[in-house]
Amino acid sequence: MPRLISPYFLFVLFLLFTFACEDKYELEQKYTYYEPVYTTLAEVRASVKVEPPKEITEAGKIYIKDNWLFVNEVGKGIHVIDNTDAKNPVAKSFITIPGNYDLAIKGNILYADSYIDLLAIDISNKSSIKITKRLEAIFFIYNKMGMGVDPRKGIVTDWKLKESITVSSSKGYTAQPWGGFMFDRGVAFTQSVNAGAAITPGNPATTGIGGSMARFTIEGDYLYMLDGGNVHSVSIESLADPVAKSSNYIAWDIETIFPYKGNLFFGSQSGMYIFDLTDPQKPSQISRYSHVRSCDPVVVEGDLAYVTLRSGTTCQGFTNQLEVIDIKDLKNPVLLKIYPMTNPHGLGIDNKKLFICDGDDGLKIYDATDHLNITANQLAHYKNINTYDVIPFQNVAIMTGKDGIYQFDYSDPQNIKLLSKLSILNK
Amino acid sequence: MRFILLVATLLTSLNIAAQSNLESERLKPYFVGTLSSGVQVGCGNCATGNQLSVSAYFINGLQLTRRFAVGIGVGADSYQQLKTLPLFIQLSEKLVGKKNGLFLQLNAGYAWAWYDRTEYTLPNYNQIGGIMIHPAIAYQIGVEKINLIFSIGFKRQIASYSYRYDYQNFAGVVYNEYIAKSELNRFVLQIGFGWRY
Repeated sequence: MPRLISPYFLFVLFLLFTFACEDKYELEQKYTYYEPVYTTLAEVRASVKVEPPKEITEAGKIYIKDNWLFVNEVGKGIHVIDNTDAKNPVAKSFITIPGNYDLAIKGNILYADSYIDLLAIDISNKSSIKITKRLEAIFFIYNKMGMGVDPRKGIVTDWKLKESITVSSSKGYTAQPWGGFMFDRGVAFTQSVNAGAAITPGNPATTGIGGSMARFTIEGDYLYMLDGGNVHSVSIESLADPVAKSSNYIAWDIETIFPYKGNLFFGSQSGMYIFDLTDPQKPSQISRYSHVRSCDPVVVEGDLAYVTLRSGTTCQGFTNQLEVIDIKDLKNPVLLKIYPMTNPHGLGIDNKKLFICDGDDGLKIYDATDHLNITANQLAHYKNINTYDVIPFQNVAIMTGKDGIYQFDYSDPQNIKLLSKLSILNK
Repeated sequence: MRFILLVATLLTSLNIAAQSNLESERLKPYFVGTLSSGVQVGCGNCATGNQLSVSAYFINGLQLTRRFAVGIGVGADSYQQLKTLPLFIQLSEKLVGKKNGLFLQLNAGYAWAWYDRTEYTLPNYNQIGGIMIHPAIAYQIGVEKINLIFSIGFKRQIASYSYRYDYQNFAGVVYNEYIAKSELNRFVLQIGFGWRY
């Protein structure tokens, strides 16, 4: 009998009585999210200034005006580079503009976004700029980045990664606590803003040249700016005194804007939209050319539009190709030919010389005289460069890559030469 | 934590018990084996009533004294939503009787878990087993080298699975990870066949 009170017996007996036959479940959810970091509007607006030249760390849009090259430092400002000698570009200054992602220039006035504001900056003296006008809160989409973003606290200037853990007894999906939806940085970008170019025509004597991925463009006396799915028409009849005239909805997925002969071509994730500018304050849709969902910059020359489609994290889809579209009849754009590409980003065309930034496959240059046989007429292929965007203009092609801004002389198409490279200090 | 405390208590008490047994009832140790199987009764969703599933053990060990044996076992257990493969230690102490007798058994170890295959469709899916503890009372009907064992006890099995979504947000990569932990409790009835080498 003394055996029955051994500790082992007691222990096993204890276990037997403590057990139950019902299962228990616990669901632990760990998730990360980005919480907005605010800066007051007064602080943001007071920080525009000219500073000595800085290293380029994240090149955004590029823009050419006369002998000057303007390179957007994503979200931070604009590098001003003297490009009089394309073999030796010289950085002259850096214009600090918080929340800047795009730009356009006419005359001596630089138009740049700064989060929700549009700035008109007199750059006649590159070392002493002057803000001639600020259109406050014109970009209204920015303040709608998420239900949890509170514009009363200021401007969202950063996002802080936070981690949260919850334990519950049932399965479920918890949305990000700030309620946000996918939205890119800056002025309501729906796509990554890593540059994008091709000639944005106009009168180069007065207007500069932007890229195929530009979201700002100038046509006549109007500056057009994309803001989410809308386009703002801003009168710049008086260059230093821009006046917001209207905002019109185009499509939720528009990404780029390209003016050509009194029309606007919008590149969107689902197709290309052609709008008439007879009334510059109210662009009216002429037609829409649809394609599979992907990122889609567009350039136009003559009766042809060139569209690149690419896949990627933000672009969705699996298509990587160049499409040539007949736009002789603007009401009825017709696809003429498709050329497979690797991962084409920005593109540009100048007098039938077609430049395509094909992602990791480098820069490809084609003679597009025979538009039905473009890839058979390759003029050059610069490999081993991760390329984003290119502006070919007056025999010099300026191309942004991951590691630098390259300039090529294509005055002799059979002998295209690298002129210079401005390094980008990738962080 | 509760299990750690219990196991610590167990080891302490066993040490005392084993020493006591070894000292009082010395025996030349010999190898023993058991093959047993049975049913597990319990409910994942008790609203639908209890459910039956199967369990099987194969144990080899040493009879250290007339009363006390220790062994190592491997098993195959089934639950409604998962299967497990336990690897465990069995401690067995005879309470009363000689050839036939009443035993207390404790099976404790770790079990690897495999959930229903539908769960495999989840991203970054990971199945994690857990501690298995199974105390039981057994009755042995023995002959010279072989015996039959009937046991009744409770089993607690911990298991979990996790899955994780990583996705690109506008500002960087974020993730959403779910860890579903289960504590499975079962009433276990087994019939075993034992032998000595």
